[in-house]
Parts: sequence; C-alpha cells; structure tokens
Amino acid sequence: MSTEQENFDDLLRSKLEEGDFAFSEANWDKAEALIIAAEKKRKRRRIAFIFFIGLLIGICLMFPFIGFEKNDAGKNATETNHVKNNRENKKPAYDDEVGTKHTNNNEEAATSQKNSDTKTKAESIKEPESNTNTEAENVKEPQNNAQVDENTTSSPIAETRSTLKKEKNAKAATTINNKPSKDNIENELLVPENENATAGKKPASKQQAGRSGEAKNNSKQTVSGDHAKANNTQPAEMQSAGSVKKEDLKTDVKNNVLQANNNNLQKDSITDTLTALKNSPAKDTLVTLKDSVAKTHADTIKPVTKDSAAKFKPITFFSIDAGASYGFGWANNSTKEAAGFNPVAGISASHYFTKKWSVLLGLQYNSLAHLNYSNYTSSNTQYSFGYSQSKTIITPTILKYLAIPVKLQYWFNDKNSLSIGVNILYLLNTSSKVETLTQSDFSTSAPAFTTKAGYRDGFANWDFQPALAYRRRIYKALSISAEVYYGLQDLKNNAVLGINKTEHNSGLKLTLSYHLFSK
Amino acid sequence: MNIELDLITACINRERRAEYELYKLTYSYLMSICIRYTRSKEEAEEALNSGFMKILGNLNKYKAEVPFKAWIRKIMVNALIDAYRKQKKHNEQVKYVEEYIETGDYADVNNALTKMNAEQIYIMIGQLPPMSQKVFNLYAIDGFGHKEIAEMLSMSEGTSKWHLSFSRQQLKEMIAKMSLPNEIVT
Repeated sequence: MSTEQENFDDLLRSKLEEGDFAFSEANWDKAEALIIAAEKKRKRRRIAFIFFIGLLIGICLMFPFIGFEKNDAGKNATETNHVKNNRENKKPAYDDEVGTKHTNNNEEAATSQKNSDTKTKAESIKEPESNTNTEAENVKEPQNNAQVDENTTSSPIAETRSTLKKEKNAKAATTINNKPSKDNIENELLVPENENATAGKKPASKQQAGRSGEAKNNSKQTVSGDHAKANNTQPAEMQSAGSVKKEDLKTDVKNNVLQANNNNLQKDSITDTLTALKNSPAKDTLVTLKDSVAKTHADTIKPVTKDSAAKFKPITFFSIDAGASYGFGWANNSTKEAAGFNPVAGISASHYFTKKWSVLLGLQYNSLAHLNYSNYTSSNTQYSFGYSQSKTIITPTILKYLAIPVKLQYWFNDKNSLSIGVNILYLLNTSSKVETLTQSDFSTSAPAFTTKAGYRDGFANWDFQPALAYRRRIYKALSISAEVYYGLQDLKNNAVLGINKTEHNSGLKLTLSYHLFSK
Repeated sequence: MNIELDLITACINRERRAEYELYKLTYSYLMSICIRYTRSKEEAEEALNSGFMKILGNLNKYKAEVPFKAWIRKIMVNALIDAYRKQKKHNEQVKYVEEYIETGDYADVNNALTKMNAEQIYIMIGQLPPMSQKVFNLYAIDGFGHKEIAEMLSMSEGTSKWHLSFSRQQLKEMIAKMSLPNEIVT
C-alpha cells in the first residue's frame, strides 16, 4: 500500500471522527420500546422455562409411580399366568362336569406327555399344588375303567384299590345297590369292585340272597349295572379283617392327602377328612377328600384372581377431535379484539403407559378470529385537476394455526382425567379484509371489500400455550374435554405494527373426541 | 465519551435511567459507525437501536480492562455485519476478481479531502455499492484485515481486496467530482 493510500485512509478516518450527531429523543423512544419488548420476551421465556422445568420435574416425580404400577402389573400378570396354569391343571380335580375331559388331558400329560402346553403349565405349578394335582389325578384316574392299567398301581390310590380288591376277593361279600353311579369317585370305587365282582361272580352268586342285612353293616358302597351281582355275604372274620384293611386304607389316603396338601390344605379339612374316613367307607372318604381339595384350591385361587384384574398392557388410542375455543381477546384502543368463538378440529393419539397415566399428542387446526385492527394502509394520490386518492386498508381478521398439543394425562378412574401440557402453534396463514376506496375533491367512492390471505407480516409465527384440561368419557368411545390455555407469545410485533402492547392468545377450549381405533 | 463502571453496573441491573444515560452518551459515536454501514439516516437509526440492544444484552460480559469505546465499536460493527448477512439479498456476485489497478494521483484527492466535512464523506461512503461499502469501512476505517473481512462477509481475501480498491477508486472519483466545481469557481 502506498503512502498516499495510507494518507487517504487516515485523512478519511480523521474526517469521519469529526462527525457529530445530535442525540435524538425520538430515537430513544424507539430504543426504549425495543428494550421493553425484550424484557417482556425475556419474562415470557422465563415463565416458559419455569413451566417446562416444573413439567419436567412433575414427569420425573410421576415416573416412579408409573414404574411401580408397571411392576405391580407385571407381578399380577405373572400371578395371573400362574393361577391360570394352576386352574387349567387343577380344574379336573374338582370340576365334576368336565372331570373326564380334563382328566384325560392330565393323563396324557402325565403318561404320554405329548402335549407340551399342558406339560409347561404343569411344570409351572407350585410343588404343593402339584402334589394336590397328583392327588386329584389319582382321584380321577379310576374314572376311566378301560384306561386303568397296571401303571397306576404304583400310586397310593392304586395300592389302596389293590388292597380293596384283595379285601373284596377275600370277603366275597358286597352290598348290592342298583342305583346308577353318577359320582366319579363311586365309579372309581366300582372299578375294583366290579372287577372283583366279575371275578368272584360265580362263587358269590349263591350267597346273594338273605345277605342284605350284613351288607348294611359293611358300607354304603354302591354297585351298579350288571356287575351288581357280588356276594353280599360277609363273615365276622372277614369283617374284622375288612376293618383292619380299612384302617390301612385310611392311613394310606391320609398320607397321600397330607403329602398332597402340604401347604395348602388346612388342618381342619384334614381332620374333617379323617373323621369322614373313620365314619365312612373309602369312597365317601375320597369324595370328602376331593371336596376338601377343591375347596382348598378355591380358597387359594380367589384372592390371586382378584389381583389378576390389575394386569395392564400399554395401548395407544387414536382419536378424532372437534370442538370450539373461546378466545378471551385483548383490549385494543378501547375496543375488544380477538374475543369470541373459533373452531377446533384435529386428530390425537393417547398412549396409555398404565391405567392411570397417558400421554397425548395431537395435530389440530386452531384459529383466532375477530381481529379488527388494521395493520396496513396504503394510499396513492394523483394530482391532476384537483386530486384523486386511492386507499387500500388491510385488516387481518383471522389467524390460522397448526397446533400440536402435548399433554400428560392422569386418569382418576375410567372416566375422568386431568391433563397438563402445552400447545405448540404455528401460524399457517391469515385471512384479511381488504377495503379499497377512492377519494377525490368532490366525492368518495363506496368502499369495496374483498378477502385475501397471506398478510403475515407483523404476526408471530410461533406461539406456546401452557394448558390445563379436564377430560370425561361420556360414552364408550366418546369423551369431552375442557381446556384452559394461555399463550406466552406476543402475537403482534409491536415494532412492525406500531402498537406498544402485548396480545396473548388465551381462552377456553371445549372438544369432543371419538376413539377411532387402538393399537 | 466517558463511561463510568457504575453506569455499566446500573445498566446490567436493568435500570432504565442508566440505560437512557448510556444511550445518550454513546449515541453520537454509535451513529457515526452505523451511518457508514447503511445507506440512510433512518436505516442507521434502526441499526443503532438494534446494536444498542446487543450492547445492553452483553454488558455483563464486558471487562473493565478493555476500553469501552473499542468494545461497543466491535459489537456494533458485528451487529451491522450480521444484519447485512441476514438480508442476504445482496446478490452482488463479483463475476471476476482481478487485481484492481488503482489509477490516478492521491495528492490532489487528499488535498480535496481536507477541504471536505464529515457529512460529505458519510454521503460519499453511503453511495458505494453495499458490499464495497462494508469492505471499505471494515478495512480502512475500523481496522480489520482482509482475512477477517473475508470470513465476516463470506468471501475470499482477493474479493475483499478488490472491493477495497474499487471503493477507493469510487471515492476518489466522487471527491474529484465534488471538488471540481469549487476549483472552477476559484
């Protein structure tokens, strides 16, 4: 750079430093307006920040509860499955109506073990219950005479049956009862008897008559069908021998029962069972036992079944929303602006984490109508002979927003919920009334009105509305929501529009939501 | 311009009276900067206000060891350049950038310049093309280097040099034109 150039620059710099500009109060007023606007903006940001922090803390505080509920739900779910499994396996033990069917299943599971589900369920049962189940199986096994084979002889009941068989064979005396059997246990007892009766049919037939009195002493054993031709003769030795065997039977069954109902069977029921065993023959004992086991299981299952209702699976509901909002508006030059009803429509998705907590996310069309402040005025004056002035006055009347509501909902019960969140609004477009008229020296033309869109200058593009809402389910898939909201943003740019005030979009919103589907 | 630390502290505490005092004290100096980078007084006032907002917003970062005048000058220049970049409607793309060969004798121009007042120079600078105006102000008046200018205005150093030379040439021509009638008269 040449010295001349440097001198030129230095000279310019020194000349510029001489420049003096008088302070302008009017300019300070503008600067002050900017300072005030910035302070308000800062204040709003602070409020928004505090609100979001509060919301965040609230969510953080709520999460542990959500977590616990989830854990509880999981626990209940496990219990439910457990109980379900138990039920499926236990049912045959005390459900007489479906006893045969379930017994077959159990037998399949126990013998062939081809059905993997049954096997899995059976494995998941607690040990004592399994024992009980085994007991139940044992009780049921004799039900199907044809299926009873020597494999079952290893079980205590089979042993008992075997003992009975021997006893009956030895005694060759049975009471004949022609009533058809309905009870599975009776059938069970009949199996050995019938078999024995068939086996000992010929030798016993001759003694059939005149022995009925002794049969009464024996027991109330019922023998049905063609097999009921057993010998009812029972000598005293045999009776005593029978009573000894009966004692053995009682002991066996008692042991089995104690083993089976290790934890679940109560002492009372065992005592009752033993009493029943003492006062009645084996079949009655088994019937009592069966009822006792069933009762015990029913008692065990009931409370868990109640808890199982708490099981919850997260679900998302998709809804369509429609309603109206009422804007509170604001005062503008002694007139109220933006106060009135506006339509609301959109869709939303509510994701339920638990039965109590859900998060709502939506997409809505919101609007803010009843604006009446004219932002833009232009005039074009032509001077010829006199003057002619064309005026255009543009008044934005409706602000159209795309709103994204984000809310956290708490359901007090199935019908009522309270939610807190924020609506994020983006200004899509505006609708403006355009008034044109012509004035001249002598006349003023009638104004012509048209509606135009797109005058967005001076309006804030974004708005954030903290909102509090109450929702009530009024019919199956229909719910109503009342919401109060407060817009944080100053909707109109004061610098552009030349008004030094704030305009907040706040009001009430009432919407109806219809659940379309869930996922 | 003598700014006391108390006044700065009061401004940090958002005291309106202090803000007013600061504005009043710095107005002339800031305006002299703004008017060089803009094309009209109104535009300069608008730029001054937005720059002053930035100064207020950054006062808490001010360190006493730095001259306040230099500090607000830097903030204001940055604010002006930022505003210019945001406009980005200055599609003043230089199609070819060559070494601009300056011609003419500076002696006569400098003589003429000494006879001019500040307002005339502001007007002349304001008549430069926007990009050239920015480069000239940054380099010749505010003391930035070509590298910095190139970064600030997203251009190459060569382009910055070209704008500087072009600005000088333009100013010389304007000064010559302005001084010519006087010479004729005399």
